[in-house]
Amino acid sequence: MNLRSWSCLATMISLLSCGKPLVDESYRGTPLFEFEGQLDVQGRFEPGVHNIRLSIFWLPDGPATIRQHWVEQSSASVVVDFPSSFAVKVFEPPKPAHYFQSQALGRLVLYDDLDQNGQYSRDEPIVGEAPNQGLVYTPPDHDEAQSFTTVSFPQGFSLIQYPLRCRTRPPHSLDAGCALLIGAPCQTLDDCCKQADECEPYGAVCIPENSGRQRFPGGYCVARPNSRVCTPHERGRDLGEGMVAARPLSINYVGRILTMFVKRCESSAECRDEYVCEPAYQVCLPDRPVRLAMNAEYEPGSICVEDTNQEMPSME
Amino acid sequence: MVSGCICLMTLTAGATSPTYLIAIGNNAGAANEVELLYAERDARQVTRVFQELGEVSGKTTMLLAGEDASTVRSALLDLNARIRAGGETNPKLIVFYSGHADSKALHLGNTRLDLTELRAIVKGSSASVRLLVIDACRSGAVTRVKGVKATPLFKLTYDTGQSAQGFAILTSSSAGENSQESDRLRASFFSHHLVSGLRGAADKNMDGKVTIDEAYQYTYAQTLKSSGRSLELQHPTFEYGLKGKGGVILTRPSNSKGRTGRLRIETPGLYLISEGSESGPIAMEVAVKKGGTVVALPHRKYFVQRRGLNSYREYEVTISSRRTTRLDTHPYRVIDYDRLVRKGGSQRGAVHGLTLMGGFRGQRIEGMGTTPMALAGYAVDFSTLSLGLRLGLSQFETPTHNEVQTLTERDWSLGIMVQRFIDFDLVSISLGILVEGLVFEQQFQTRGEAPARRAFGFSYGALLGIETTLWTGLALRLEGGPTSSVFEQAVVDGGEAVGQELRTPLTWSANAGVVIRL
Repeated sequence: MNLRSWSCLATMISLLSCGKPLVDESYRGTPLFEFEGQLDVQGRFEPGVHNIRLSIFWLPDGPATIRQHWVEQSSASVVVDFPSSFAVKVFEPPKPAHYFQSQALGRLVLYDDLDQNGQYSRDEPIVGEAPNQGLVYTPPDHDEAQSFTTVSFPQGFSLIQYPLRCRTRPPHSLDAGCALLIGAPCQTLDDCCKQADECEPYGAVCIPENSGRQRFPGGYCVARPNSRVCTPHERGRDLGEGMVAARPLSINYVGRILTMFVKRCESSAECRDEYVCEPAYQVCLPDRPVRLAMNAEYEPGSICVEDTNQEMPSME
Repeated sequence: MVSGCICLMTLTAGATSPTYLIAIGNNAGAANEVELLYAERDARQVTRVFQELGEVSGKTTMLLAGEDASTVRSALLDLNARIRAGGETNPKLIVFYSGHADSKALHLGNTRLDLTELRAIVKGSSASVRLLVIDACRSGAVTRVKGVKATPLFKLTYDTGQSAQGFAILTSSSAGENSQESDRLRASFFSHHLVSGLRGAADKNMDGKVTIDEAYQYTYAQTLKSSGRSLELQHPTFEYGLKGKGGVILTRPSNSKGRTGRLRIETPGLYLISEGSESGPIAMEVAVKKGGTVVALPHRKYFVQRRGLNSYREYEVTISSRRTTRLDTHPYRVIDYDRLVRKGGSQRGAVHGLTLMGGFRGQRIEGMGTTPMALAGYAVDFSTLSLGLRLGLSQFETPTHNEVQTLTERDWSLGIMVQRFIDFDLVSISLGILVEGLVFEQQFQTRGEAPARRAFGFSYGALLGIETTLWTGLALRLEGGPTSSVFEQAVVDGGEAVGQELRTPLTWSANAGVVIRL
């Protein structure tokens, strides 16, 4: 080929690289939200026999557990094999008709897609869900005062802990400022105090990395509710020098549900690596993958807890 | 002034008077003049038409082909003497010459016959009607140029007798112009159209007789038209003096005799009549202005071609002796210009056409399926190839992901085609190649975020087509073939574009539509 032929070829190739490449029908757009998780199997499921799909089901009835009213967002539906991890990408927001009050509440549900049409049909069995996690979608024009959950969620999708404290405001009166290293990594109790000998009397507790079902990467310093160095603190007011904003939360620690002060936050930027600011409770908690539990005898539980003692619900 | 071709004529009215004809043809001229091809043939054709349709018999005809000046001179003088001695009532004398000449003399090989002498001999004849036709020529290349050297126009004089007598000069070209002969007609333009006119094409009032006026008018118009397609224009001139009443009849096509028959043409137009077949010698090129024109032709089979604006109509007819054949009652076939151009039978070098088509294209991207497409094209048919441009649009909409998202794709294409047509009786088959530039546009209807995408590519492929004429200038075409496209496609994982790769899928297209030839 002569120079001219090469020039033409180069022009054609460069033209090909212009623009955005074409997509096929599997393309869904730019993900608005994505999360990963793991699937736990309880009971007997024969691999290859079932066509298990994970999907988001919006709850127009809110905390009610009437399955017939749940609405699947089939565009977020994925096939899951087990045992396995999975990744879900959400490409579109829920329809306003699927909101409960001013937000959309979602459950992560497993079902057996018997007709293999890629979406949930009424007579298909629900075989599991993420028991302690769900999804909230907060539209751009959301009014916090109208929130069913009564907490301030960031705009868009949020992965949250279930169950929620529903219909009541979070116990802001229990927020505190602690003169301890709440939220800091720890291997021993001494890591939680500025002065090693102050930890025990001041009510500090070090939750080691592997202390129970919940893994706390690097360990996590908390304080007992009756800590003498934790004083009430209203959000928005100045904390004293060396004070850490904290909020009580029931957590599973060495086999017991205990209420502890954990690090309070507004966003995940305030939390350590591998920790996120849990949007519903606004505390720094381990960034754990969504865990799905599959059980043929599955019965959905409520996403709400009754709030009687002004304490945060427990985090399993 | 130049007198390229000169006619002298003395005219006398009279229906039954005998006519004497001397037809002189000489292909050879002076030493520096190229030999002509059809001058002697012109003289034979003139002799033939007058014998078949005029009042000329074998006894009153003399054909001088390739003779020198002294032979011609002697023949003319002998004939004058014979007419004078015959004592016939109002005899006519027609002298026709085709060959080389200059402003002073005919060139009969290496010999010269002065025009003044020729004029004096003809004028001195005792015939009441005296006619001299000189179609002087010199040769050219493909269409040979018959010409004379620049000189003052031959000066005409007229007799002023009381009876129907006259003297006229007809020239095949004006001063400064050349006369031409045509390989296609196998004659000089002037002589050919004169003969055609005498066979009936010039019969303007359709009374079955061709007068001198009609013959001149027809010959003038057709010679001018034919020479207009050649090197230069050629304007025959005709001046005569005539005393007496009534037109001078040269031929009577409606009363053909011997082995001559008649062809009646009802539809006006330009007709090319060839002997035997399409490739046979052209017998006549006749412009029919009015329906009902009758031309006389020798008994035989003819191929008749009527040249319309957008197509040719072709007939095959047999002319029987002394019978009238109606052309319009014969079957014919219509040949569009594109076919004529492709077989080199048209004077047009190319035929332009517009194409409107619709059809389908196989899927380029998996899952998209067969898609509809529309095409608009422009093409030029040459004798060997057809070149074309075509603009295509393919648009489709498809729901995806349980109908929660809709993809609308619009593909534009602009391509160049090169095709070779093979013509059969009823259809034409085409084989060709196509190269197209492509612009793809994808839009998504979604409540999420999926920005519109635009990509570029190209395709190439083969085109196989079949075409049949529906009406003059309008054809139905089916076209299709395999094509391969080259473009970038995104690698999609979990619904998200995570990369890209070059794709070259092989697919197909099939279209149907109409071709409008301009």
